Amino acid sequence: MTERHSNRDCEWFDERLEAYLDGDLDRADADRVARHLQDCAACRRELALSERIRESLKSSAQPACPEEVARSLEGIPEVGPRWKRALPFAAGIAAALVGLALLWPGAHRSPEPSAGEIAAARQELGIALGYIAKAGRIASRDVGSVVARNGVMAPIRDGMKLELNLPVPGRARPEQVES
Amino acid sequence: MDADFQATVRAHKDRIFALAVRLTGDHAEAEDVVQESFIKLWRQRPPPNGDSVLPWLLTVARNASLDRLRKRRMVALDGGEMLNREAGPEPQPDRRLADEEFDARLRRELDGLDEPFRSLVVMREMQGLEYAVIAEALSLPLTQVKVYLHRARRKLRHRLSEFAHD
Repeated sequence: MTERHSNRDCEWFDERLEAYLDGDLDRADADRVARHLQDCAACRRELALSERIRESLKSSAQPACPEEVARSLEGIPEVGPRWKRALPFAAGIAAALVGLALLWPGAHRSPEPSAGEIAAARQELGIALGYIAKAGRIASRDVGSVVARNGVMAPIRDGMKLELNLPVPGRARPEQVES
Repeated sequence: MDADFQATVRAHKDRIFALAVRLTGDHAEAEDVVQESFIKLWRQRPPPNGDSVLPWLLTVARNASLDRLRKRRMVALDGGEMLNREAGPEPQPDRRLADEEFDARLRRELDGLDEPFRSLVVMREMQGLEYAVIAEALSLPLTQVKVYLHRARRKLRHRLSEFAHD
């Protein structure tokens, strides 16, 4: 180091050595570097060291991605369309239920429906929501083992969450039902 | 999309894994980084396409790797001990080990470089990536990539100056 920095030519060379090896110097600078190398043993050693560093880095082994990681990644796209397909299906059932509830013979009847009618409607609604939940489970059945640890289940769960705002006779606020 | 995604996985998984291994120094963490990166790609809307896919993946994988490395170093410092998984053996008098010693020392000095110098050396020297890809992955102008790379190589050379001999 001391030897290299003992004169200005060596410092000048040191700043340009890497660009010289990359072929990034203009003609005049490249010629000057070449002339300096002929006269300076210390800078020739620096040049050799730089080449050795490059060679060592270049020849270092590049590890291949393990097959099981690649396989788990290639399985991901199969998951996407499946749960995406399930969403419109579930949404369609939900919309039908909402419509059914609104058109239910007792829904707009005056006076208010009896407690028995409300209980019967709730029972029907519970059965329907059970089917929706089952559809969701089937759609996402294969997802868990592949992607649960990667945080992909959260959006799937969010996507499958169903909120129905059904008008409930006799209540000021609509009731929220989750599947 | 499925076929495109699978083709992307096949085309880039090894490169992303190698980068993550180099930056984290840990194969298990590198596997997590690969999964995390590709899952982010799969969920990305709109997805990067064409020549932008590789720089996008490199950016995500590099950020994830550096985050993990940072957390690990913080844990190590809290425990009063720095992790140095690639600490090589003490210098050997045997000349046959000279290359191994040099390589081990080079790895340590490379790990000691600040960012983005280390990533630049890994991407360019070890992975042979194009300057344009590196520039996009690191969000740096092309000229800056070359300047930084020259600086990184110079730092490495100075730190290994004891190996400069005839």
